[in-house]
Amino acid sequence: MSPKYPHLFACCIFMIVMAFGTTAFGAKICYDCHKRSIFKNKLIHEPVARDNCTSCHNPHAAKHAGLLKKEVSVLCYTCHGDKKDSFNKGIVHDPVRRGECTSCHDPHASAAKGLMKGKYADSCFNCHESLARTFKYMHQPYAKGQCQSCHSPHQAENYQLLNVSATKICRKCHSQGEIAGAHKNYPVAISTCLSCHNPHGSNNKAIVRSVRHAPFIKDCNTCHGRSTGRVSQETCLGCHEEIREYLLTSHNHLTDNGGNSCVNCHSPHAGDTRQLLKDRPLLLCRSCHNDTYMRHEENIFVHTVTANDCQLCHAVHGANQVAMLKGDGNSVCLGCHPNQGQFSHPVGRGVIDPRNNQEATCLSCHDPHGTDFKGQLKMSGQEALCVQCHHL
Amino acid sequence: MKKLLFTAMLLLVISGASRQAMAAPLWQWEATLQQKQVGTPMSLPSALHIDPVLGRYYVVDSGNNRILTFDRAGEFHRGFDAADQLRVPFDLVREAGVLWIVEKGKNSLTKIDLEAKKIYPKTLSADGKLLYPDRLEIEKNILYTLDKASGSVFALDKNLNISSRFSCGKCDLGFVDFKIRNGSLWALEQGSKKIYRFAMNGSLQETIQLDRSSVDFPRSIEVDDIGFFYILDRHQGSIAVFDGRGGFRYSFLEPGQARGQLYYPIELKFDPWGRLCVVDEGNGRVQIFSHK
Repeated sequence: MSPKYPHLFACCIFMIVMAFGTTAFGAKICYDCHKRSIFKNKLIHEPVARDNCTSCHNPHAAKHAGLLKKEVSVLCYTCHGDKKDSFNKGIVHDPVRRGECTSCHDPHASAAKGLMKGKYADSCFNCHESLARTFKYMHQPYAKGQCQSCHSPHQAENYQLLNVSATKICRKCHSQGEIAGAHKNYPVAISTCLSCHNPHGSNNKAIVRSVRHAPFIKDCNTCHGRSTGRVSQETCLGCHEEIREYLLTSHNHLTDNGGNSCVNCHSPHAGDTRQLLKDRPLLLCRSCHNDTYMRHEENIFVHTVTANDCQLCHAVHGANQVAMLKGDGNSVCLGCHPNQGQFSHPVGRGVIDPRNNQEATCLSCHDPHGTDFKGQLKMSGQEALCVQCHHL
Repeated sequence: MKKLLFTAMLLLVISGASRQAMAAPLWQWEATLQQKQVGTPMSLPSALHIDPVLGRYYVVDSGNNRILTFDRAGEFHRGFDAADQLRVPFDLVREAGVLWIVEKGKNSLTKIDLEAKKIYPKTLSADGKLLYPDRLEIEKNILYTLDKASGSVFALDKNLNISSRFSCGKCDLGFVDFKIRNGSLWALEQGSKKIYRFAMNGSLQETIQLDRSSVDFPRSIEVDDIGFFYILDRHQGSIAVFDGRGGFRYSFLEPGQARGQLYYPIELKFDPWGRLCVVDEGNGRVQIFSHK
């Protein structure tokens, strides 16, 4: 017996074979080698639940690790494309921006909501290793591993991925009355709780940050006096006179729309370090200079020693140099590379860069943040860079 | 019919080409203000002032505490250091017989009487707070200075009393540059990448949001006769051009040390002859580009 439409029949058979061959039948073959139990949990990713391994993996060969058909981010967005636009808005969490979905999510199965890898906080601590796990006094959400109660894991409009601005976030749980009751006789309006309190925890009661500013311990009126508004930087400079000279420079961080420039970076009340910085130096600098960070993030050759501490090269209060460098383009580098310029390419006094008629410095050829050329050269050291000055 | 089709195609090609030309005009290097032959090379120039009557450029050679002058062709004219009295000069304007210089090293707006050869430094304050002068302009005998501490522009009379204030209100960090063009004061806010247009009495007229992805670190602003904005990107070493509504049109120049490249540029200014001058701080020069 032969079918009436042999071509149509053949097509149908082919489609059926392909459909089953690449889904259930395919998965069955996969499970011959890969333990099925690994892919079982309280919550199972839909393609896995449908035994559709080949929706993500190529069973034969692939360019990407895990025999993935495409890069992780591209693959995830083929189904979760509706999230792509929103995940690119505002401040984006680094793993999201790099398309590393699987650094937090298990693509197969998980016991946690959102297919998180392990407990929610475990995913966070995998990268945020420097965060202390325990304190004498712990903030309850932190103690319970509820990072998402304050932070948005993908993106946010606020610094540090806070899901509400820093001035309002505490009021999600703590009422105005409760806050006022805990701060009786406080001389000014309470605006930023994070200025004094560590939202994770502290060894001080009421999770007050570990290093307290001396006037804060002694008497609020030392700084606030009779003022009920913001304290100006002149008040800060009254004690920290040595900083004033940095403000009398061509480039400085005197920028705060009529308020107090000092509190852009420093907490006036309490902090976690002696400098009372509001955050780790790199994160603090990134909060305004994210473009510099982003421009060099993908570079192959990075100046690793200084990558996490801008203060090693930059005078962060101010300087009479471009980029607020601590010295000219030679002296900054010579602090760590004292022999450079003596036996290698000459730089400094009397050595003129013909491109701009300026004294040649390390920065004439190197970009210390990072480049795609060895030694953080600005161009290939094979030829392109040299012929800029040494014409063939 | 064929002729009609051919004509239509030709018109389309021509209009496309002309649109292209309008979208990305060619800016060509024309001159460099740089003291090559005489004395110490220019170091970390921070500002440019142009005297259209004398046909002269004044460059603030901040790294050497002096002012250098050049003629319209870009030839070095002379240097002036006020008998070694200047401390980190940053910006200047010139009017008849007088130089007004922002000296960051003294936090002063300094008046130099050229005929009497006298220097009058003055520290400014407003509402009991010190001002830190940064940028300086003069228009109809009124001085306008950007206070770096507050991020506001203040209008000052000849006795340096404040007559009006141009502020962005509750913006993050205030203004980083301003220009007075076409009867308005245009101020650039770096953080939000916005331009504020004020009437000359200090009242805010409009706010223009620039296409945020087209510029990384805006440092200086210029406005041309048809209302296009030229934004100097200090970190990208380029100039981005926006239409009057903030829409990105095109950008030109690139980072580097060679001619036509920029390294930490700091100020942008049109000269009276329609040329665009870039104070190229990191390269110790002022580059002048003309529109072809």
